[in-house]
Amino acid sequence: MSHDQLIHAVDILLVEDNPGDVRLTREAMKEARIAVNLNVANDGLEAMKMLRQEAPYGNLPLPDLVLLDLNMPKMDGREVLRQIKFDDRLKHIPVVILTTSAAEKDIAQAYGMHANCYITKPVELEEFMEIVKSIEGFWLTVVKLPRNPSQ
Amino acid sequence: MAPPRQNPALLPWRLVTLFLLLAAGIGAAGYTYFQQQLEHAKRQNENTLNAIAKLKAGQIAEWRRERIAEAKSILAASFMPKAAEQWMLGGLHDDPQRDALLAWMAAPRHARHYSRIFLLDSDGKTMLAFPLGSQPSDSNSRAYALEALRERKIILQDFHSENEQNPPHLDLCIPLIAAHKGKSPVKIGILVMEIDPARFLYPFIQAWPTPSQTGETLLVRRDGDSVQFLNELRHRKETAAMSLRRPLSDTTLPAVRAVLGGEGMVSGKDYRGVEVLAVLRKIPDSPWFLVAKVDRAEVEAPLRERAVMVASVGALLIGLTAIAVILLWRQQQMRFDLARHEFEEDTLHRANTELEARVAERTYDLQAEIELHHITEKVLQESMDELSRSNADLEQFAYIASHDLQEPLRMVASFVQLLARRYHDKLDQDARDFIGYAVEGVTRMQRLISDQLTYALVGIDNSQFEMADCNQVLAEVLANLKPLIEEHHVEISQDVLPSIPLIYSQFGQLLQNLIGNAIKFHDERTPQIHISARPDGDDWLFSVSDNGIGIAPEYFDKIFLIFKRLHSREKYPGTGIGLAICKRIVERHHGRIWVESKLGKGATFYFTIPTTLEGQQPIS
Repeated sequence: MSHDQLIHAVDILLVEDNPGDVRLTREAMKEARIAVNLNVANDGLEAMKMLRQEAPYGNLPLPDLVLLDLNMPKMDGREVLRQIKFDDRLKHIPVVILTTSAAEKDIAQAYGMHANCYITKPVELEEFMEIVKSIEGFWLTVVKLPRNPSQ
Repeated sequence: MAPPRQNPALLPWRLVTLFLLLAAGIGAAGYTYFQQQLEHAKRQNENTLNAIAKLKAGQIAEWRRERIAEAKSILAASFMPKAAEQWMLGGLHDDPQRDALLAWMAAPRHARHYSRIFLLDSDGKTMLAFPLGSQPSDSNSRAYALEALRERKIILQDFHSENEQNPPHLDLCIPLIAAHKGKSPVKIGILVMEIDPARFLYPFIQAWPTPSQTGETLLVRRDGDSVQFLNELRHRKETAAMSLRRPLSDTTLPAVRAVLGGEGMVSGKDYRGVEVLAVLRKIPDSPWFLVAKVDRAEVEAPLRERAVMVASVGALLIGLTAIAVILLWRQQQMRFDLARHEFEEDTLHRANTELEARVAERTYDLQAEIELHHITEKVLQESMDELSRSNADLEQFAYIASHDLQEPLRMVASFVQLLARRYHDKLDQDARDFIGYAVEGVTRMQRLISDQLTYALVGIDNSQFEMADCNQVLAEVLANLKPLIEEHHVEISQDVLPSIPLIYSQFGQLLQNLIGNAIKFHDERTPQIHISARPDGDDWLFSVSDNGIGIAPEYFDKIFLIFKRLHSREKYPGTGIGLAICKRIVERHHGRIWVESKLGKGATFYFTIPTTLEGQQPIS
């Protein structure tokens, strides 16, 4: 991790309707000891409001990474993905699909809409922890990302 | 039937003669046609040239008459002669009279044809001139004017020019004679109106009424023993008018022929030495002759194109004739060959007749069959529609099962594991065991769901049948199983397998499950597995044999039921879905699967796959 990135915590937006999964993700991050600023949207509509910094999220910074579940009430993850990738202001943000579904159709569709990667949630807690760690390891340290204009 | 008389291949000369005659005919027809076209074009050109020559000659003669008539009208209108008489006989003192005369001379109406107008006295001396101060172009003009006065008649003096530098002109000489009753006529002088041909005559002669690159009209007159070209030449602009003369001996020149009295259409070479077609005409009441001519090349240009076309068409026709003759020849040869086989043909014909009768009979049967088939097809289509609807439902269910049912299970497992992880030190062994059972239960439940799903999806896989090499499928399967094979030191042998139509992924799954089972259910001996295939009627019969623990005969059917297990999970793990899936896959391929075994003596699983694709289209 470069010195530069140590200075400010990374912003991650988790879009997930299941509170259990939210908690699990938080726990995994806690165990991984990664300094992140995790914001949670409980459905697609809320996620889009946060990303577009609409009231009441006017002061929310643009995230460095979006973790996106596919099956959600109101607006599902596919629509959120489509809106992010068709929005000039948002499309640079990497979107990691993190879902229970292993269906070929979902995988093909997600990459077709420019998802940056697709991960099926594993059953084993140990594996899940590893995955969360490696997501952050890869996307937040290995990969060079563009600077967010808002930062 | 008489035997064939002569082999026509030996006698092609008749056909060669026929061909030569036809070719000659085509050539002659082409030539005649072309000649006709040539005549037609010539006549057309002659007509055009004649019309142009006639028109121009008429108009030039008319122009000459107009000039004389103009002179007469000047004399008849009393102003000019009277004013001249008064002014000249009055001793030239009457200035207003002089001014009036000058004004008349300068009248714009004269400018169309006349460049200068002079009033000469009876000695030929210039008394008044327009433009002021000018003099007649040359001494000849004065002589001609005096001649007109002497003769007392209007003279249109022909083209003349004193030297090459002066542009040629014509003079209209009008004698002014005062005639009063009771007195003898008094010669007052001559009105000389100099005609500049460049103003009207030359442009008029040069104009050609139809678009033409070479069309030209020439005005010529005889001058001693030569012909003189009076107007400007279209094709030799640097030569001044009247400067070109040619001897009368040069009779190829249409102009020479014209002045020698020739009329109508002639062909010859013009002043450039170029071949031309020309029409000659004498201009009435004048020494002039008109030559209207056009280059032969221009006339013949379209004809040359026509000639090329006629020649091409002729060549094409001759070529086609040649082909036709060759075909005819070959046909004769074939006829000869046919004749030789006449007897066989006859026999064949009889056989054909018989066959036709049988075909007719069969056709009738077939029509009935087709009708039945249509009805069956309709019923089948309806069932297929129904099936694809329920398949769609099943797919929907499969998706729900794979996602929505998995999620709560994952929650239970994850949090129980988190509990164990975080509070490991605070829990006693019982608590840790309970947690272990909970996690195992959840894990198995998830396995069951996903296996059930796999099983359900085998039936509705939309993949297409394709011709595939079973050896290749097997090689891939063995590669997948490599860790397991190496772990148990399995010996695998195989026959050469066929290529048959199959659903690639399903067939691979089938082999993998059977071989996987064969490895799994081994006893203390080294596992030996043999895969073979042999033709069996319309099918291929495959077998996978092992030397494992074997199966008691009473379970031969039960093992293919879903989730049916013969052994404890501890000893042989698994959900009991593998063979059920195998059965589904084989049935999907329209085959059968069964097992033969003796307990403790290994087992052989057999399955059949049809060799052809017929009836194997997937239901979708």
